[in-house]
Amino acid sequence: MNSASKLFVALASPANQRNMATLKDLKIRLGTVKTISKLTKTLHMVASSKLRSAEKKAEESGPFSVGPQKILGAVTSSDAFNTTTEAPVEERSGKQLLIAITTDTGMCGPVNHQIIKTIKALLKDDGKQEILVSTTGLKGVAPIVADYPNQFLISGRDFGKADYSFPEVLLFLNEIISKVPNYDSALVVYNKFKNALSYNVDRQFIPGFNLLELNRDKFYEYMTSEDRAATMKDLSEFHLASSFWTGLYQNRASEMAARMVAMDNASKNGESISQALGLQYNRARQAMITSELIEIVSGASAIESSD
Amino acid sequence: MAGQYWRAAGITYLQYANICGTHVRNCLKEPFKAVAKNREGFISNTVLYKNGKEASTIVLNAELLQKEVLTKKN
Repeated sequence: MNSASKLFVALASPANQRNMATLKDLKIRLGTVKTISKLTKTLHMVASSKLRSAEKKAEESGPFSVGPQKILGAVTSSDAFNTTTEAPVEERSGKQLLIAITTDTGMCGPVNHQIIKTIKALLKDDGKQEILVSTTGLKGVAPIVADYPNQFLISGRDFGKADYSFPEVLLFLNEIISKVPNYDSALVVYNKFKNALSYNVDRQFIPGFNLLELNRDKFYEYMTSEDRAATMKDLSEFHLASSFWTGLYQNRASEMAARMVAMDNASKNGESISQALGLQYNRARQAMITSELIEIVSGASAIESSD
Repeated sequence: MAGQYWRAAGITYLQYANICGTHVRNCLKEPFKAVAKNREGFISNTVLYKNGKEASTIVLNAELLQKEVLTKKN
C-alpha cells in the first residue's frame, strides 16, 4: 500500500459496512485532486510564459545600475561612522533602511522565505533598533511585523501588479525616504535571478549622504558641477532608485522561475496521487460488485436447494 | 551656489526625477504619448505601519503623481 492510499483509509467509517460511503468519498477525493492538478498545471503554464518576459526585463534593466554601482561601490560599509571623529555634514538619523522585495502571491517556492530569513538575521544582530524595514509585496509583512513590530515602516500592496512602472517606484521610495530623510545607509534585499532553476538572495548596499561625505576622499577624482555635496545626495538617492528597480525585476524573474518549478512539482504529485486514488477506487468498486454478486448467487442457490 | 532650488523647496531627488519624467512624457507627440501613458500606468496601495499595526494607506496612482507635479510647480 503506498502513502497516497494510506491517507484515505481513515475515511472508511465502521458504520458503512457495505463500502458505499467510502466509495463515494473516494470519488469526491479523486475529483478534488484532479481539479487541483488542473489548477497547478495552469499556474505552471502562466508562470513559464511570464518567466520569459520577466527574464528579458531583468536582463535589460541590469545596465542601469552599473553606473552608480561603479562610482559608489567604493563605499561598502558604514564603518566610517565609527572610525572618524568628524561631525557629519547633516544631522545623522542613525537609521539604516532595509528594503525587502517580496511578492504579493505565494506558491512560488522559497523565494519569500529566503528573503525573510535574511532580514530576520540582520534584525537579530541589530541590537539598537537601528534598522527600519519596508517591503513590497504582502508576503513579507506578517512574519516581520510579528517579531519586530516597531521596526516596520511601510509595505506596498499590489505594487507593480501588471508591471513595475518607474514613477510608481519613485513615489514609493519617496514615501520611505520622507520617513527617514537622512538615512545612514540603505540595503535592498532581493532574489538575484541566475537561471530558471537557481536564484539566490542578494543585497545591494547604498551609502547615505553623510556616509558619502565622510568618504569624500574616495571621490576626489570625479568632477562635479557646482555644489558637490548636493550632487552626492542626489547620487545616493539615484543609486537607491536604480538598485531598487533592478532588484524588482530580478526578484520578479526569480519568482516566476520558482513558481514554475513549484507548480510543476505540484502537478506531478497531484497526478501520482490521483493515479493511486483511481486504483484504490476501482479496486473498492470491484470488490463491492464481487461481494454483491456472491450474495445474490448464494442467496439464489439457497432458495433453489430449499425447494 | 546656483542650482538646486528644488531641494531648498523640500523636494527630494526622487520627486525631482519623477516630475522631470512626467513633464518629458507629457511633451511627447501623440502615438508615443499614448504608449508611454500605457506603460507607466500604475495603481497600488502603500500601507504605513506604526507599532506593527496598519496606520494609514496611501493609494499610489497616476493622479497622485499629477497632483505632486502640479502642487510642487505652484
